[in-house]
Amino acid sequence: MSRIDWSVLFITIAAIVIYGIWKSRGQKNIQSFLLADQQLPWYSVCLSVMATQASAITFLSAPGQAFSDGMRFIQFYFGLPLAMIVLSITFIPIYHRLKVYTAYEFLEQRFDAKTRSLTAFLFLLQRGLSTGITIYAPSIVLSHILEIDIRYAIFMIGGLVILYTVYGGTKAVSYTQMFQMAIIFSGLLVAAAMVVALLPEKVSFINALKVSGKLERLNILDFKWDLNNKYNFWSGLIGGFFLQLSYFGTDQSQVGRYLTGSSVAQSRLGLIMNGLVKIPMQFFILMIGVLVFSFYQFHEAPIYFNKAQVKKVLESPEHAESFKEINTNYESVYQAKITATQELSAALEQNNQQVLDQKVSVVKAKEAELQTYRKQAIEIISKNDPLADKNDSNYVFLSFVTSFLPVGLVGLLIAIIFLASMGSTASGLNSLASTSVVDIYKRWLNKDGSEKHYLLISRLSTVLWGVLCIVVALNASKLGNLLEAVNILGSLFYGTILGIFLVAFYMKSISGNVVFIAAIITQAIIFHFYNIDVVSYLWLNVIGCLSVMLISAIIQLGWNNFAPEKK
Amino acid sequence: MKEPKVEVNDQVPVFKSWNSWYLLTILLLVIQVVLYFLITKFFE
Repeated sequence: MSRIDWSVLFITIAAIVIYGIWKSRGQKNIQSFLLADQQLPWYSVCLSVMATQASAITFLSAPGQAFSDGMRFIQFYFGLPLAMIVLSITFIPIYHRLKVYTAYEFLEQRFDAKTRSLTAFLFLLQRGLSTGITIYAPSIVLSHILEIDIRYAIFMIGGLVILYTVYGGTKAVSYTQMFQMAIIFSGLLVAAAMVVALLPEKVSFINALKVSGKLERLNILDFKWDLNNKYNFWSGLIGGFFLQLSYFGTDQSQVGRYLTGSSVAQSRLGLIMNGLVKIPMQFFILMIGVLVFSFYQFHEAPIYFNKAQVKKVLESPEHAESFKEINTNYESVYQAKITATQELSAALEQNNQQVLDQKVSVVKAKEAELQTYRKQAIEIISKNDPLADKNDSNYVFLSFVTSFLPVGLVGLLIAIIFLASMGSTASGLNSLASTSVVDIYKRWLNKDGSEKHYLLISRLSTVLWGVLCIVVALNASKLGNLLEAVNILGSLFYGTILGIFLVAFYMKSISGNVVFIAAIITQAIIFHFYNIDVVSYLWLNVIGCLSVMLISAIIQLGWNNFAPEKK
Repeated sequence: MKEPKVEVNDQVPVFKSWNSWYLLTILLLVIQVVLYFLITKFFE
């Protein structure tokens, strides 16, 4: 990166961090540290909710996801607006009314302490692992641009976010997320404009998209009912609805965001706005991935986007020669593919379907050949470094930005990725601290401490979780595309947690003991189903939720009928 | 547990009731699905 890029990067990040810390000064209790004194307006709630969900993973891996698999991932979000409606009607009024710090406090009032603790534990496990992944994502960026080992990058990013969150708490997170989102949106608009501007002169924007369409990247909707297909309309609408309902309704990293709203109306409006804006925003981000794909139909793409790994293999005396040979073949076929793609683009202007189909099949044949060389290259990379990431989709957008964008813009886009990561990771750490302090420490270990004491414990807890998340990040390289990984992780736990909450709200006759047992049985079932790959992961949210409710009903019925009567 | 009665005294922004916001959300979702369907078909 050039000096201008580094300057833009540091100034943007420093400004945001200093602003956040300045705005959050004078926090004296956990009401302030964890809930920002519940003073925030709806637009702050909305931006905070969006920024929490949109981490570096969104901006790094989503374009990569679209690049390799097309736009169909957008279907994943179709259930989200409906989930926002349900939350506005049910969860928000209840949380505000009960004046809870965490979502899990409510469960003790409804059931008992052990159910509260079980749910809190499931949340801590899931969120702890996910936050580790959100630290890993920007570390990829840092290691790529500095060409350093990713482990050093992980320590640097993790350390910075810990400092920021420990000092500022929820207020720092919420105030800075507003500006982060503004910068992020602007930067994305610029990135999209640049990708379009970099297309060859003879290729129009529409033709570039048509080429991508012919190569199955604009496969936005799929209405076929197939439980093993990861992304179709039904899994997104139904499975996605349950996942988003659980994520926004029961995950403290989001509940903590909208509980900062100054009233029920402000929290509701913040969530509804999130429901209105989220899908177009994700569509735009995925479209950038498709545009990058279009770009690479007319420019040569590297055989492997992870430059650090390529550099490692080229320095290896054992593997360098065979890798270079494969790369030479790859480059030669790529040039042929570019020629074929240009012919395809020209054929789109004519009205001859037969010619068009023939051109498409030539391009697809070249693409298949390229994939064969890529697989061979990945095998060599893997032999050279068994710990190497075999999936480079997380590096596609990053590689494009650092290779092709002009000076200044590179710095801005890298800053965006860091800011997104900081906002999301900070929310994650904040929620882990909240739940640890309120649902575990204060509930079980020290009920009568002073506000100053709990504030100290909250800060210490943030540090501890930060360290644990760094450990997770150090092991995250094997997870493939991070956007998928973090949602698979969520789907393993969200169904059960949502089920517990829905039983709490709507099945009044179920007791704490019953739901506790049902939750444990359900969690075991979900792990088993995931292990044997019964259905695609989004459906696990539905199965988990409905299983808790059904098993609770059955156990309670059995208990009512067969339990000995109390004398 | 007896569920506390929720008093929602806040004024609804822009519309007269929250149902209008909910209907707007559903309407925009439907519009988007239709739009994405048209895009898929156009670029297929």
